[in-house]
Amino acid sequence: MSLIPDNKKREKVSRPPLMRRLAKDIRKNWVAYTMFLPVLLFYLIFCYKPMYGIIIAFKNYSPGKGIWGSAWATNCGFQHFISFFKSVYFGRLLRNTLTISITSLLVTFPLPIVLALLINEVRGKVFKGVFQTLSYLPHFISLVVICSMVKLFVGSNGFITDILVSMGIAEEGLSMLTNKNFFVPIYVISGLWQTLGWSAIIYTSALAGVDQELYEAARIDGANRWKQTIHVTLPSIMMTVLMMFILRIGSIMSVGYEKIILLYNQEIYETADVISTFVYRRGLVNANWSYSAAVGVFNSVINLTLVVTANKVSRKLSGMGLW
Amino acid sequence: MRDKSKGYRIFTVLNYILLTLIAVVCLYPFYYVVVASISDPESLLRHSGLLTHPLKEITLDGYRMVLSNRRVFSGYRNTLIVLAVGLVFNMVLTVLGAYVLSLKQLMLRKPLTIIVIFTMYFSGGLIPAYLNIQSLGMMDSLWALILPGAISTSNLIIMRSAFYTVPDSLSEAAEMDGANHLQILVKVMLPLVRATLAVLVLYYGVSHWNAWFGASIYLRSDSKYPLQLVLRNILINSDSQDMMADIPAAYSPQVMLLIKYALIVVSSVPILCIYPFLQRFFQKGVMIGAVKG
Amino acid sequence: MKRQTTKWIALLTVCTMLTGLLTGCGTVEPDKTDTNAEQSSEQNTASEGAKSNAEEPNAEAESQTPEETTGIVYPLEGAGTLTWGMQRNANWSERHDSWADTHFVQELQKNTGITITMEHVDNADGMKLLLAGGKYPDLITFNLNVYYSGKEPKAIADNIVYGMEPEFLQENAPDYWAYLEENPSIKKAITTPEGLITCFAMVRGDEILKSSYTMFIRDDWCEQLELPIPETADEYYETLKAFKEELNVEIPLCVTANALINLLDYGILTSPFGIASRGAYVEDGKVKLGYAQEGYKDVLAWLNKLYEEKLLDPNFTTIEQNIVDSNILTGVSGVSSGSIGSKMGVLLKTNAEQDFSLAAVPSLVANKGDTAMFAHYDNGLPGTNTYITTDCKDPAAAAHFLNYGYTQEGHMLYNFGTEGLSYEMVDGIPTYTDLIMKNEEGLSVSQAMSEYELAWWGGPFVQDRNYILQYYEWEAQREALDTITKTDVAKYKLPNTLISEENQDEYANISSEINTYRAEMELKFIRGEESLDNFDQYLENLKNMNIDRLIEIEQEALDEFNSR
Repeated sequence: MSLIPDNKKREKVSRPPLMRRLAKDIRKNWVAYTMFLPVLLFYLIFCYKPMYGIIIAFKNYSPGKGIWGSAWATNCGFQHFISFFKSVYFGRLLRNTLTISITSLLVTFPLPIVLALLINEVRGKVFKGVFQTLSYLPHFISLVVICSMVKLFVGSNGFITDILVSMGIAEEGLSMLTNKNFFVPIYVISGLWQTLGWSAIIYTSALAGVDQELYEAARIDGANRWKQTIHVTLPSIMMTVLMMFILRIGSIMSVGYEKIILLYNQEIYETADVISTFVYRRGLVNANWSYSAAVGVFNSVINLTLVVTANKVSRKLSGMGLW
Repeated sequence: MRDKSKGYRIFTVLNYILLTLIAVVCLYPFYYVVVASISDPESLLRHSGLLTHPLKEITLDGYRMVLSNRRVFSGYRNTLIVLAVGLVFNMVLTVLGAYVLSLKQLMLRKPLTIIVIFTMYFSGGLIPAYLNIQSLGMMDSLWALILPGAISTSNLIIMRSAFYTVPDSLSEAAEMDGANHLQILVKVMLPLVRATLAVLVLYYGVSHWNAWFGASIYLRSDSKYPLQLVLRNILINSDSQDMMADIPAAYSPQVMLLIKYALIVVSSVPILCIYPFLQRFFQKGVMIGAVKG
Repeated sequence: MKRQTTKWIALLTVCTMLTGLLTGCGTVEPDKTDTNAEQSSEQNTASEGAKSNAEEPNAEAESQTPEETTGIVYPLEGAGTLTWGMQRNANWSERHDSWADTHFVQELQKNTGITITMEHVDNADGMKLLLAGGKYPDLITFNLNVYYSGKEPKAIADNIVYGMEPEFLQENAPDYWAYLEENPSIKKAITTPEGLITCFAMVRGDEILKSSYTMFIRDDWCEQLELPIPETADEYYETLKAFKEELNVEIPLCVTANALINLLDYGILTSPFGIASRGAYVEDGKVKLGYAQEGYKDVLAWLNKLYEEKLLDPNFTTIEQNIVDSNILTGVSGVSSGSIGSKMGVLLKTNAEQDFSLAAVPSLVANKGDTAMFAHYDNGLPGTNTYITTDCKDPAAAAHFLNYGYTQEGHMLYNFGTEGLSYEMVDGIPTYTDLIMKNEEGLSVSQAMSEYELAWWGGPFVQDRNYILQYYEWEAQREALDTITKTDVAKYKLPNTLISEENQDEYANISSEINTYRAEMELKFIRGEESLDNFDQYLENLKNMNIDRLIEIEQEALDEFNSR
């Protein structure tokens, strides 16, 4: 993504028939199109060829009968969507999913950028290297272990609980995970712990690409380090930031069940139960491919809508977008 | 370039302190795992609170159990094969795709971009993917672990945006000299986006390193299992007690606990070593200097 | 790595949640299975365990398959090759690429004359996909009742499993057929509404093999306090209190939330209040849901009392299993729960050197001398059945092969392995040798078993009681078996019913909502976050969530089952 110049004007000037223009374009850029061919093949074979599987969401899929042979779901195929929407818990699930997702976005999106900027100010190469290696270590520790550590720290004798008890926030002798109000903060902060360093990598690399002459020029203009950051550094990585942001927007509905299942308990469903965990539990009652496919399609549609909107807004405001 | 003001000096000191703190917090879980993996398992079970040093006598039983598994070394080998071959496919295809999609003059750029981005949101799901691999004859073959993931679309987008940052003037100049797109890509563009290439190597490399699900459904012979699947099976099978059947676990719970932690060390240390090799690509100023020089 | 690790967390969670599923699906049939089993279980009740058992030479013979004049002569003449799909299991996969390389399968091939080619998948997902892939090995061993929506009959209707006509079995698997004839309740449970036999079943050959989950207590403490092992709810309460007050035990009853749910689902805590189980059970031919009964309020009130008085772990909703284990091992707690083999046995082994002993607490009752209504129980069909698939070119040959497990010779091989090697007859009892029990190469008992026999897992044969009596190495475990098999569970247990296809979605929708609601409310009631005065509101809400329809669907399924 990035500054995509407006091609429209140029197109409007010359208007030969589309096919002829296309043929000319392909003739002219045949090397580029040939280069894209293997990529296109990949997408066709591994993404588009299996995509007919989406119709599982509209059928009562049964492995033995296959995707085509399975019967259509009732209500013109929308039965699984309808039963999901009609669930008493639909509202709560949607609310919790969005709360967790948006809070995570607000916290775990900007902080890696700040971290990358801070790293950028470090001169010592050794310190920098060591720091970066250490900062992404939690990314390699399995979720089970991270979660069991989190449970230990916020458990009845955990040191975080102890601190909060002394501040009068948590209740003594009780795990903080029994309190529904603590779930989202625990989820988000542990998520930050796990991803902070790893997420900063992309910004660190973007910072490496900043033309050093720009700093030179700014310094000559008398800008101090802070002003250089505001006027040189930030604008140069803005493109990366915006792109990552749009991608994140497009995954708002995708809160995975794995971590939540490790952390939550039935008592705090009220804040902790999300769409994916509900579907997961439903699968235990009746292993049903179609229902989870329907929920998947629902999530995808929302995600896609969000990303299209975000893209539009971004193109309008900054002229940059995913496409 | 350096700001010598007092404010900046204070900032620098605070910055070092803050980063050191973050580093400690980030190091802790790994430190915990390493310490736990050599602690006396019974004391470990009874321990609550922060773990700061190995408990009781140091034991290497966990590592002995993990490394004595006959599939660990074939697992390393398979993972390395997938990693090496996979990375070639990943990088070549991603770079080609990203570069072509960054060419503003292509008429088909937008439809192609949409074709690519659409796949981030919609996929056929597990069953058609499985049938697809089956019909391609890739069952029980390492290709099933390499090809379906040859391009990660979000990585492609990251790559494309890196190409955008290269000033048009450079490629235009090369075009004037009669270079075609392939030559421009290789000779002009790639050296300029080294930092991003390094990021992608890291992203793809780590995802290959950690992948197990594909292997668990596409592979039939365990001699082809990648490391993560081997390790995961040791863990799952030592951990899970089938309540319905009361099927005995293969190890005692103490050994199991050690195994759990030793596994993490065994499986993550090699990939942690990749960063220092890539680090030099993140050094500032290399690229512009390289081009101009 | 995130994705990778989280996937297996999911798997682990599935394992723990399967227990809940067990009652949810009611994979169990109610009738006393077979007369053989009944007799031998009586004998077992009278005996004190394996040793005394060993003195009864006929105990072993009784749990075995009936000896029939078989029309099939092994090894089979001119027999060919069969492919067999199965999940890999760590007990043997650490030493062999394929299960076919184990001594057991070598013997099996030699004895039957059939050459086996294994097709291993890594996990249940792999097997589900293999089924979806449309190309099947000749034989499959898998739990379709759990992993296939619509269970075994649907797998036949979907053209995956070859449904066997009775005549087919009579002709090609006479020993298996004879066994089914003698055990009509087993036969009924694996017969589709259309009258087809679905599988070569893994059968528990004895009552004592059907129960394995129990609550256990530090009986050395009971002795010290001169208290009996509690039998009634009141005694239980007093014992916990005495632990707390006289022995200063910090958490008298320490279990995870899932384990507490197990204790309720298996009816271990509910009988005193007139409810067989928290989940579904049968009373007078009617399906009942424990959690929707008026009397469930008393169960919750009682648990709330335990909680309020700190007899039940205040953190039971968040505590992890390994902490629970460590608590019971270190005397922080006095009562916990788990499987007799993989939990109780392991705890006993861990603390073998210390002053530590455990005994099973029987399912509690209201008054001394009452018989409890419920316990952990499977209907004799744990589900790891073996199927002939529709891709099998020669079902008759496959049936000949699978029949072997139900012959006398096959029974011994599947359960005990090879005589003189993995077992020897001692006083008429097949007894595992040191090769199994004290392996010199350092193999654990289960690993060694996996090398020579299949009783530790499941397959086409009848599991023998002498397997479990030897697998349970501790006296306390064998006594526990005695304790937990004295209930009326067979009377109340919901059989392996089949929700009709048109009801399946509705059933899943209603039950997933209700499960969410009641799980949330139960814990709130127990922890006193929600006053029990609101219990009527809770019942009302269940009604609004259509619980009556849920019961109706289950009733329909039960009626259909009974009418087969």
